[in-house]
Amino acid sequence: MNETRATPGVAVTGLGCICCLGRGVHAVWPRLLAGEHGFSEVDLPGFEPFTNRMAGQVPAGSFERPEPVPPRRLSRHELFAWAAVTEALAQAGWDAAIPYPAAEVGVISGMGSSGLIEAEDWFAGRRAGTRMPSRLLRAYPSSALPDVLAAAYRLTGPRFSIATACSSSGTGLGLGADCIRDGLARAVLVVGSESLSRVTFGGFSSLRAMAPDRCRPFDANRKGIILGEGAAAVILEDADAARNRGAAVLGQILGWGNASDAHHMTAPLPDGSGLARAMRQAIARSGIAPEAIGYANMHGTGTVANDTAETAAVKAVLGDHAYRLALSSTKSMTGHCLGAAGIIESVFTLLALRDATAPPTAGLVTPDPACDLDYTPGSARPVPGLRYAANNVMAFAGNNIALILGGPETLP
Amino acid sequence: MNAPPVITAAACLTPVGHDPERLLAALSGPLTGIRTVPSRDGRAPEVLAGIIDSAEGLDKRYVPTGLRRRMNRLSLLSCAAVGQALDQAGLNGEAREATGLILATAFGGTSQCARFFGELLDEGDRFVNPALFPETVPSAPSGQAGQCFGLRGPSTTVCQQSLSSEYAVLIASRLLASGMAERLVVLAVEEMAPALLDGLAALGLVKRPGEMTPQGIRLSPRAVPGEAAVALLLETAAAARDRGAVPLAELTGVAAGGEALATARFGRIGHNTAELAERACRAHGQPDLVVASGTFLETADTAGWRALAEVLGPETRATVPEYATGHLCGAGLLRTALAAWAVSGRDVPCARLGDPLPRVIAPAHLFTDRAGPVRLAMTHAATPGGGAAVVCVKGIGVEEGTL
Repeated sequence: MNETRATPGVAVTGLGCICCLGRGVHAVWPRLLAGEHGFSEVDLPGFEPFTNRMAGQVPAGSFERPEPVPPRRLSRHELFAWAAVTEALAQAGWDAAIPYPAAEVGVISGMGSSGLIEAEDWFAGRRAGTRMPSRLLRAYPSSALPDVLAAAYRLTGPRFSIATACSSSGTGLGLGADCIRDGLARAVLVVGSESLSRVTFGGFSSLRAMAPDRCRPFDANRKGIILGEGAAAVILEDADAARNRGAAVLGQILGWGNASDAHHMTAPLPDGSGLARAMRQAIARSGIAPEAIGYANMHGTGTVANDTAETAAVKAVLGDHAYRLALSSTKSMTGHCLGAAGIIESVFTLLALRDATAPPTAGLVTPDPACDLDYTPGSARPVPGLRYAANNVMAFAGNNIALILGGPETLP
Repeated sequence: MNAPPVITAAACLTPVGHDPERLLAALSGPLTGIRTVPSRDGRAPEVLAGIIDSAEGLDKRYVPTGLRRRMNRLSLLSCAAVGQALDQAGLNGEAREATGLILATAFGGTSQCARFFGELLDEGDRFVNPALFPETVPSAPSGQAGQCFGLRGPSTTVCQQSLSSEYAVLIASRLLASGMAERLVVLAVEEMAPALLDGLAALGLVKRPGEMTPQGIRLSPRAVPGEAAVALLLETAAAARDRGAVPLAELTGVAAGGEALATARFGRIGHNTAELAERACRAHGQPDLVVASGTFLETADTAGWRALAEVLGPETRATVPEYATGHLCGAGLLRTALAAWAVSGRDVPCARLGDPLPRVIAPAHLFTDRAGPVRLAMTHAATPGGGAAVVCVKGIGVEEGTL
């Protein structure tokens, strides 16, 4: 059996983010550190009949007028992505010109429902006998977003979408880093985007998985998820190439792991063993000692099953060290952004590394005895000397992803 | 340097049958999997599509009753293909535990999304059936196959329209090379559900029945889509050797990329095709057989065919399995499967690239030649929205320098 080999790090040079807490890292991060959540009742058309309409909806007015103007009319999730991508490109210094040949820059997106909200309008209208414009279907395929971005920025390297629900954009980051390590690209724009849709709202509601008021991961009284929406973008570059062009390196993707539960379509293995295998693989590929991890951004959805399984996985992998590091679930403030969750939370993890500060798990008041680790309840906490962090993602069909990220000072 | 990975099994469920013999027979005989699909509700138009009429018991053979009851048609077709591949490869027990699955699909769970959303509109969120929801995600077939066969290795789902399969093969080969797995099932599946056909027809993309004549199907500005489930087993050479597997083919290379176009410009397909085909030739040698994608779109198919002829030469043999099945969108892995069968000794009906594509396509009239011994086969696919991909496979024991 092949042994997992440590892999070289890949530099992060640009970040962008939009979610219910606002648009831009500068707006979102302070609110996250302050433990604020962005939950409110959804006011999108078509959602009125839902019994529970609590969600993390992107604020109206924050994305509808994109700058620069895109070459075509964009769907809701594409507008979110556009906002995140333009922020990331500006930070990387790519807004004036992409610093690499077009064929050496890839685009990878992590998708959940993609353009489903517009397709729902088409379907419902047709069902009611109304003639509906076919343009509502353009953004429905999961591949629409990378094509839009590659066309807008004239990028001709590898491009594809990952569509594994909650783990999509986390996988995109891992594969994007691998594309660079394997020489398939010198840089990759990785983006994850998710828009609320009636199918996902109805689906999680039907599973009785939605909390009525807020998401309280790891709390004994947690009642489930709050759905969120938003997008994040990360610019990955070959570390040497980034250095040579004088880019400011914001962090590193050191390693990632991927393993399947093969257990159930919606519930994780209770012992978290699938996630544990993914975490071990990520740590082995990163080349760092497990004890070097100082912070872990947990998947932490706020369901009974997820939180206990994930806690079990972290303990199995890190042993006693699990009790020493800071962990948190930022879904307590942004909601569960499904296909975009992995990359949004990786952005938060990179910011935690930058500031050596763990964001809190908001709303954690009464810890569940089965979840007995330090989830940074209530308020953000400095983590002196923080250099390495983990990000876990657990998806439908038992798909588990783990990422190991390093702060900017860890680049050799 | 790692030896290239090997393909140790290739299985399919297609509109013309569920084994290579019937697919090859369809390329040289009158059998076609393409037919008129009637309107579901009287409002949507009738269209042409390649439809799988029956799984012929393969779903029952490989999927236990308890699991089968929880799967929709897309997942059942997927599991049937995966089961066939694992059976062919003789892969059981512990070996399956360490095996992962990379899924390719363009339109994933459209059928289930439509079904669930329709019921949600009728019943509301309190009474809609929750069992319908999990299979609305595109990755559902990989989760179902993972559960059915105990596949606990890495798993992901790739979507890039008609290049989804090639990207899945690329990702699988890189995961093997990095040591994240030593064995992966590459599964590609597409279902031409009524909801999807309605949507494609609304976009003006699908041929109407009048475009199929006794002489064949007319090339035009509309395509003929098709459905299929295809599964390959891809292993590192060492892993295959260690368990005594007999490979069908060696995967020598995968390349993908190309411009993205803000609006579909079929004429650019030739340009993207030529670039990648040239690159593949330089890296791996002149192929004996090209397995090209076919859409029945006039500009796309003729532009691609002409570009391949210019780069590879008019005497190069080529075949298009999708002229028997319909364009398989994300399930184009059938091209790689056919390439693997070709290099492992099956005689493939073909034409020469120098023969112009006729205006009316009937495989039996087009593929009148035989490929003969194939040492290196190249698959090719391109999308109207930009982008192209090639996969190169060669026969076991064929030396690179002799190609």
